[in-house]
Amino acid sequence: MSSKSALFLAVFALSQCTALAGGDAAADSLSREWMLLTTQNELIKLNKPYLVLDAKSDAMTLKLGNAIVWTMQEDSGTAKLPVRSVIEDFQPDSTLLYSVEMLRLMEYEPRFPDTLLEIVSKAMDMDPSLLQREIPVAFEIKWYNGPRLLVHSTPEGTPVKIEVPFRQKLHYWLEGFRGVEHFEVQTNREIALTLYRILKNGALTFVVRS
Amino acid sequence: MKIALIVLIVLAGLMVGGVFALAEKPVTIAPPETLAHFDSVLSVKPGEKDLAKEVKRLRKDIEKTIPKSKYIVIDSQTNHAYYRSADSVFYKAVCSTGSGGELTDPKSGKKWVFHTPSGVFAIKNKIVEPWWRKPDWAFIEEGEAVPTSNADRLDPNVMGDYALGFGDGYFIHGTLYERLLGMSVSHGCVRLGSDDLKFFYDKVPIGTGVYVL
Repeated sequence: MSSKSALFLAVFALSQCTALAGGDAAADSLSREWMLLTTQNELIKLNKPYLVLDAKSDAMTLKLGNAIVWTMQEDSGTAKLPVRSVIEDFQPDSTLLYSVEMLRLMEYEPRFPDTLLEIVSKAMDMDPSLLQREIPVAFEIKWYNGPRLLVHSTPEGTPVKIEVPFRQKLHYWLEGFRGVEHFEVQTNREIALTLYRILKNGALTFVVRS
Repeated sequence: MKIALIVLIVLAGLMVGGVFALAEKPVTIAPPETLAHFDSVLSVKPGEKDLAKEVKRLRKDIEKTIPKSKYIVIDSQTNHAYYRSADSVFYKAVCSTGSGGELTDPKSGKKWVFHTPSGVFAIKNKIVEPWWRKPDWAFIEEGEAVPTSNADRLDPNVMGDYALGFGDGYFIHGTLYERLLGMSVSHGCVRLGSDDLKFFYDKVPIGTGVYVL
């Protein structure tokens, strides 16, 4: 075979490989988009609130149907959640939906004084516990195959320094060796309360990587 | 050497969470059953030929579900009502939603659960000076006999100046008990203070989406 023919064959083979690889990449991308859209469509139809971690908008959003209930970043004066870094810790990459494995209420305060609750519960003949809504001041979320997130609630518009007890810092540091990353965020009390309660009721987390 | 060993034992204890376990007891949550539904839906993937068509259809379907105008969010977890768009909150009010309490009719055994239904709804009608047509449970709750005549069920004084119906007999309306706003004390309707109710009546058109969680 002449060197010209050999060169021609090599270039031809290379172009075929590139075309095949390009075709595979396009098919993969289409397949990923189908999975993403199918999941989103089913979440919308579910009629239950769900959490969205979106790398593109770099935001954590609570949605119901296809409407935004809140976006964590829209409440001013709070520490921003590094959403893209949080997303990296959800494994494997091919999974889109995650559920919460554990919630730990670190600190809470009652929303209503006992005296008021007593009067109202007597008047309504109801158990006071049904009326009470404890405000989670600090709580921790751990997702299955995902990271831990420590949520601190603060009075609206008043950023305060997050105080993490030494014991907990140590716990996080040691967990890091097992590959479990942890993050912290501050948000207002209403968002913290809604987040805690919907996750406790089994709300799913939709992770959008691109 | 001894110190290193002690440090190692303490650290090992911490690794399993035994020595310095965090004080508050965690709530363990089992994976919800809905996850299996998603697995089953994703397992039926269209063939290569139909994939592009299916992606196009899904994009269209999802696009249709995006609220095209402002919408109401009722957060029954915090007892707040919002009028908002995807980007901004235009109005925020404290409300009262369903207590979650239960009532059983001692005669018939019929049971009512007083919760505000969650899901996606729309404002169906707007009423000025609404009258409440008391359902059976309102009489049973008070230990009174259920009247046979419709006229005996009507009460013009409890729903405030306006009511916005969002389906299945549920309304956003006023209340005589404004001091209880912020608490989950209603029988399922959404109660607002009179000024907030006026805002919602004036600004929210019929057809507006109502998202209740």
